[in-house]
Amino acid sequence: MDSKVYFASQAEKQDKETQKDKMDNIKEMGTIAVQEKGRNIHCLTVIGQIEGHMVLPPQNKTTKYEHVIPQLVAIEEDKNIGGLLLVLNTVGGDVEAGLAIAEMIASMSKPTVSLVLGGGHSIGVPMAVSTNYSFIAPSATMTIHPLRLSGMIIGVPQTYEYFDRMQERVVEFVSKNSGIKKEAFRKLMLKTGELANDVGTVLFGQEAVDYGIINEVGGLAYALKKLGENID
Amino acid sequence: MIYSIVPFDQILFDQQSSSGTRMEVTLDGEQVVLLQNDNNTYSVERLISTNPRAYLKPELMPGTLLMTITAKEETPRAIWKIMKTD
Repeated sequence: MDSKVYFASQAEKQDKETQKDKMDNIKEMGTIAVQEKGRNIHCLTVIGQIEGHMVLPPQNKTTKYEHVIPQLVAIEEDKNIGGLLLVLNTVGGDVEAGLAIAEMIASMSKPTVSLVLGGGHSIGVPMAVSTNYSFIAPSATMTIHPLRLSGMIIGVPQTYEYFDRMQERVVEFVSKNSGIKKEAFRKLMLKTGELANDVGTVLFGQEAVDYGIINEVGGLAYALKKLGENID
Repeated sequence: MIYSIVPFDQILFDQQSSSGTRMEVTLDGEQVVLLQNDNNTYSVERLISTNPRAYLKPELMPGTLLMTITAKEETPRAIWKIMKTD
């Protein structure tokens, strides 16, 4: 058995050790290792369902609101972090949690770049467009569809209106943060004949770029290069 | 309100069999989700960090087996020890 022991305050201890190493270097060798400040990037990986007000049953893989929000604050606050890479592979999730994360990223002052891999569906669409620049892998898809009702609802016209307004929040955010117009996005949401037994559209990598939702088709190297350029 | 391509009955269906005891702890300054195994050990299930360097630390990689050393009464934090599988 390894005798290595880890405990919560280890990070502080390590910080002190690194500090001591640096001082030793200056004293003994007369050198100082220059750390490239500001080029340090952090990466937020979003997988599965976006979890917000409700804890989902354990068979769902989730990205939790309460994990992500403080991380975004820390990234914005830490002067050693130069930018954020957002890697998305999500099937959607809580509307308000998704929009909250998207708004947080959109309002960050540091450079941000997103990369959609696999799928960036439903509420993943506003998240993907929330960054300064966005990439999509050629094989990745984005499903754009209307919001749906779940559970028991009151069958009155106001219910429909409420859903329409909730949907409008998504449409508004996407059109504000990407190159697609509101009308065009709504048209994609309500398109028939694309999905079996359902309304909506599946966009493949290049198509998402052609509609103006995503900036460019690319992969990791492209995303990191763009983020590096924006940091400089 | 859920906006997802996964049908609601699949999201909300509670499948008890996949559940185990999970806990979130801070190890080496990073937040990890641990899954409790039958033999009183814990395995790292997921690392929750935006720092890409944290994912290169072997002790935080998913699958790493850990056990706790009974903490002294005056120490509120649990102390973790890595178990070697070989």
